[in-house]
Amino acid sequence: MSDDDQLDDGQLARRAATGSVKAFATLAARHQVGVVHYLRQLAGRAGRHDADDVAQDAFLRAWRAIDRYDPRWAFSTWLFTIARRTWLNHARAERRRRVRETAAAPLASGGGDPGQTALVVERASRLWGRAAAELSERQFTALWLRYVEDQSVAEIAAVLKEPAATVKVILFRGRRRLAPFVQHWME
Amino acid sequence: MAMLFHDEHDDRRGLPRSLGPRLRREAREARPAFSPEFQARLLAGLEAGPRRPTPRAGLVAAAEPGVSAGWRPLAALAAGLAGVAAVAALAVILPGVQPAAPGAGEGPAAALHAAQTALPAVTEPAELPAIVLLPLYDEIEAGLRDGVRTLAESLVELPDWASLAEFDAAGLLGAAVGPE
Repeated sequence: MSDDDQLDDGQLARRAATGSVKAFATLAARHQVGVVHYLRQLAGRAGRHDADDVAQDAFLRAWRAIDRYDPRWAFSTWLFTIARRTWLNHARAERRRRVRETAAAPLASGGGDPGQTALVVERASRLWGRAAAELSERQFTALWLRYVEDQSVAEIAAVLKEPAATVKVILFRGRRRLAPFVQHWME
Repeated sequence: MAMLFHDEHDDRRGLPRSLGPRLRREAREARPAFSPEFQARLLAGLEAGPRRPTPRAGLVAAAEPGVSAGWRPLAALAAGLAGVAAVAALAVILPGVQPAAPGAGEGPAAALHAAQTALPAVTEPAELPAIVLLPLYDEIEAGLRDGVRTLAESLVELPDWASLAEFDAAGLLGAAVGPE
């Protein structure tokens, strides 16, 4: 185990802010799965490759801005803020591209073994897949940060740039929209 | 309002209590494995990009040839620090001068008071928020949108990815609780 592996996120971020690629790479390795998981679910089945590209872009943006990371916030909070905004930027560019194209081609459904890809997506396709389809991006992100990343209301508010009270309403509305699907599947 | 957050009260609001646990379980089951390929690709990107200088060195690096437009954040940092330093200099130049009441006359005291009142309200931390302390650029963006022009903000160059906040503009500036 290297020295960097024994440091917490804040210590690694400080080291990365001095220019240490190794320290940032350690940070990225710690948070890779969380960021990729979030973006893949947000992107849905058809956007998995896009999600991975966006995740790469998000980490690179975080690297360029690492000296502006405020350790008063959890590193994951800061990173998810960047990841979310990078995704929104990508989504906007995609919407513009599709509007320009007269014949929209279906997005690539991902590489690798189609059967394995389908199996991986299928495990999450029920409730989170439904969430990605039914909820607004804010509701999806709020629910994800709450139930998957165990973030507090304050942290979710920082990521969404909303007041805490608004976050609570967003969470409630998101749960309310998903509730019928849970009840239906339990029947 | 607290009840809206705590999903253990969901059953009182007609929501299934199983929703939260189910969301957690399904996410756990679908969690991807760590990808060495992803990490290797990222590492290549980190090492291929311009070497990120230290914050203080950025004041010089921003002017170096070959620094891409993507390093605008460094220029913003330099400009922001210069702006903050200028404001701080006003306080040093005018020691012992009591801030004038709003609408007071002209002169150095009024100028200092105007500069102080033009600064964005600081909620946390208590000290003047230098650019380096701001966790996100949205604070600057929001201030500009509100039309609050401060000495520091007037010198700050918006970083390239501040434009990402435009997507949330309607939501950010909208009512705290609005239609879904």
